[in-house]
Amino acid sequence: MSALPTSKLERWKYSNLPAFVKDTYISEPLAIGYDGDESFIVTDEMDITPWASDAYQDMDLWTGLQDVLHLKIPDNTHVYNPVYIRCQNIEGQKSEGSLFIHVGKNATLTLYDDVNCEGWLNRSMTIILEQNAELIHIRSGEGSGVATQLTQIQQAAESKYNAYALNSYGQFIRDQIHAKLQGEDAKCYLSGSKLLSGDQHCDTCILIEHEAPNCYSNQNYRNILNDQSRGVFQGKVHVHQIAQQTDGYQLCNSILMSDKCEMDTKPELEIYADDVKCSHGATTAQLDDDPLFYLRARGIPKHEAQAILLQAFIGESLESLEESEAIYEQLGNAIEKELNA
Amino acid sequence: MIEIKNLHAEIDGKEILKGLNLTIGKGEVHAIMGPNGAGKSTLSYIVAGHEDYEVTKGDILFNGESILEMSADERAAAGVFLAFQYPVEIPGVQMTQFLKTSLNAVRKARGEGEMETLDFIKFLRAKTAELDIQGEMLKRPVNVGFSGGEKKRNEVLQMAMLEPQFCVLDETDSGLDIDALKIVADGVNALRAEERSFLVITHYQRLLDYIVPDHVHILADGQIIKSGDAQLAKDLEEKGYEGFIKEAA
Repeated sequence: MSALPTSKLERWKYSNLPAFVKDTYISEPLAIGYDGDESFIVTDEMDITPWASDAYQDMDLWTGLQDVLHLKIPDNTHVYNPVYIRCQNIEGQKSEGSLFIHVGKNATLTLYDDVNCEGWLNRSMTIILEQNAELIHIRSGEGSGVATQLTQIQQAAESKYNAYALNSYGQFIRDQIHAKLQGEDAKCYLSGSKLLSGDQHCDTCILIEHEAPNCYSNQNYRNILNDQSRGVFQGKVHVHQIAQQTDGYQLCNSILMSDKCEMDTKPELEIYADDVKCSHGATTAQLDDDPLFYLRARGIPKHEAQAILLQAFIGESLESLEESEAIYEQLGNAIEKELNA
Repeated sequence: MIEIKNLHAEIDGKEILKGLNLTIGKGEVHAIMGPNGAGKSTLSYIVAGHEDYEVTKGDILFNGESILEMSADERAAAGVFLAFQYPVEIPGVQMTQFLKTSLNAVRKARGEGEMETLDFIKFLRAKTAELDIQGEMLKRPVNVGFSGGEKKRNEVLQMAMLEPQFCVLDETDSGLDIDALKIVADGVNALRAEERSFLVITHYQRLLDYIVPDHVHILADGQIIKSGDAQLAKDLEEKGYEGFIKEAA
């Protein structure tokens, strides 16, 4: 086994993986449940490996993993029914594998991507979006183990990647996302929420590279932390010199519900083009007293009033999915369930 | 109905109310006027149960029972209502949902059944018509993007819905033009009843032309320094606060 990234590495500064994993796991290939059109599963090799050219020296974890799923959506295919995949990992096991999702030209797909981690789930997912392809990628999970997940997205011109991650599971989650916008007018929406309690640790680490002109990226995250939980958000937008007229937005707001939880937020911009619009913002605060008092003065008990305000706060992270009503509603319900748990 | 006895209260260690006495009988409308910093808004927050203020001495009795140990939501259910000077904007919470949750929370606490959606819509429609509130306003998040007049009408709407026994209006006239003021005052006047008392807090006499009080009190430096009838507000307009404060000292 290659060396694990430690908190000495800049991108792992807030997340000390070795402290969370055991050395007694039994290694197994990642088991995958699939519910969707079987014809999308292909066995041919794809000449894509996770991008090794990486300045951060933390890719060893995901290098050389066994392929466990290839999904290929043919060109011009509009997939009406969502495709569901579920990555399974049980206690005492280290389950590893790499997944490939290829969405062809003008094709569209909604992918529900669920993980269940009880031991240590380590996976990489490589997503290729061809010209004008569109992928809605909804991620959630269960279990109380460790999950280290790399998602790499490569986007051609006019493609749209719209991802939402509901992170309420796991003991330790590392969600590392690397998107490359390589064709003009590509759009990348990354959003999600962490709903953490107990001693959960969840780290979202994003790098979006604008490698072509006129692309749009938007990171929109809302988090609620309770007990002794710890959340980490590192989001970086890298605008290459060629990528003029880039629009890049980044917002990560967190509410701390206890004195002992911690949120570390690190927004970064690295810009080499001179005609760009980029913004980043982050807030970490307690639940605002004024709206709470207003609701209580209208007879709504404290607990219920807090739940209403938290639900509204988290709801802001769903903005990019507002037009997809069914997904929006389903996620809203899932979040409501988590908040009431 | 409400008896405030020798009320002393502070926030962050700073004493704001310094022995305030006030008794409001059933069906009466009292007005409190006072300069900035006199403690007007503090009084309204304390009556409503804001936790940042600490009552260090004295008591507030509502129908003979102390309410100091009750939380804000318990007081609302018991029949105390505060119309806010600055109604809070709550993004992400739709008006209709908020109103329904509020009404049903209060009904539940009062031992009444919760109102079903259809009944609620009918009930709400009747109340909004009286206050010239458009349906469009109810589709927005609570107070978000509301004009000053809309915010205050919204406060009166909630008052009408929750049917309180004791209403505190904290500078309801602030930020309103004459037309908006009339609508709000009409809404309040329509709620005047034998079983319902009001405490109207204001800077200016103008509001009291529309909501005519039975009693007027002048609040300065945390105490009531003079009480009288509606005429007192008119005298105050002529003499200014300074004259009365000197007289009291």
